[in-house]
Amino acid sequence: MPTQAQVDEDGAEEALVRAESMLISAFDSVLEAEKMGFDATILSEELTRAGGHLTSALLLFKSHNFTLAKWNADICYTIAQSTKAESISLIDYPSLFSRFKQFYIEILSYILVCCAIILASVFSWNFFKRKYLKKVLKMHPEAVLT
Amino acid sequence: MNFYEYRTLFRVVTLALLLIVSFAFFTSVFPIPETGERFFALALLGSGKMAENYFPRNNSTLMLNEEIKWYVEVYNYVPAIQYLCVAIKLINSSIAGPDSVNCVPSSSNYELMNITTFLTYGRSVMVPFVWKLSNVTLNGNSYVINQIRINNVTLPTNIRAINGTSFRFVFELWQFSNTSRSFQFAWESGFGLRCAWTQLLFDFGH
Repeated sequence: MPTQAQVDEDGAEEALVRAESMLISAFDSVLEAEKMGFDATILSEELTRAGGHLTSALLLFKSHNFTLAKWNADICYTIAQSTKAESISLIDYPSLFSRFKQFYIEILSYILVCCAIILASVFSWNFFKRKYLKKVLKMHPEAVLT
Repeated sequence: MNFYEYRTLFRVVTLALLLIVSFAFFTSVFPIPETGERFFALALLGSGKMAENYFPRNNSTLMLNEEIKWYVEVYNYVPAIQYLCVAIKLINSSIAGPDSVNCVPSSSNYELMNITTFLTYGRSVMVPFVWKLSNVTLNGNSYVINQIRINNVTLPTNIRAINGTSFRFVFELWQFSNTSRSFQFAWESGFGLRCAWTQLLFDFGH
């Protein structure tokens, strides 16, 4: 709860505008991170938490409780700011590099798995063929497979 | 089975395995783009979080200080994170409500509050909306709601209705547009413009 002195209407309005602007800015960053392929679910929950404080701030502002309105707007600002920082850190160079690395690992894994399937198939076919021919020749030594 | 049939079987099994692995790989690296309708859903639920029991005693004629609990639920089926806002307005039967055909909202003069939320694709949120009429006066043959208490905050209003009938709460869903950098009532669904709103009527008991 706020412990500061009474806030006037202008002070509360200023805090509201600041909070709203930061919320939009944080949303832009989260949207950018999501476009890069990051899961934005947790970040969106943080933004919703900030939005909840903005809702309360606007409601309190309308009821002329400017001190509490400013307090809620400031909390909204802080949460939005940290969410923005978090989303920016996701799309920075090291994390992008690690995503590219992961992408190449996925391609390499795919190629390796395909090769393994083909090799396993060739080896098992050759093994089966030897067994099969041995069995056939034992039954009919005069038979020759063309 | 002869030798050649066995050989064909081996080839088919190998090819099937390769196809399964390829499908799994390509769908994980290059997801199939959404082609369905992009939409939001807005729901107003009663005290039991169901589409029932909106009013005490199932009677929409309310007394002074009678507490009503509703839930506002919003879904996002647009494939990206969305900044959404539910505008809550208190109007009477003579004030025009939103127009679903042309997607025109009702007047912003009667907006009491809004609910801000952010939703990723396929997610929903449910927000409680608790309210009561805390100050109503009789003026001629009209009842005027001077104060309404929403989520423990008292708000001044000045909405009147003849004999206290047909007050209505309107809930409109607004989306923050990245192109216009502002909230808009309608969104492009891929099949034309769409909008979402709902309302609930009540009377004041006297």
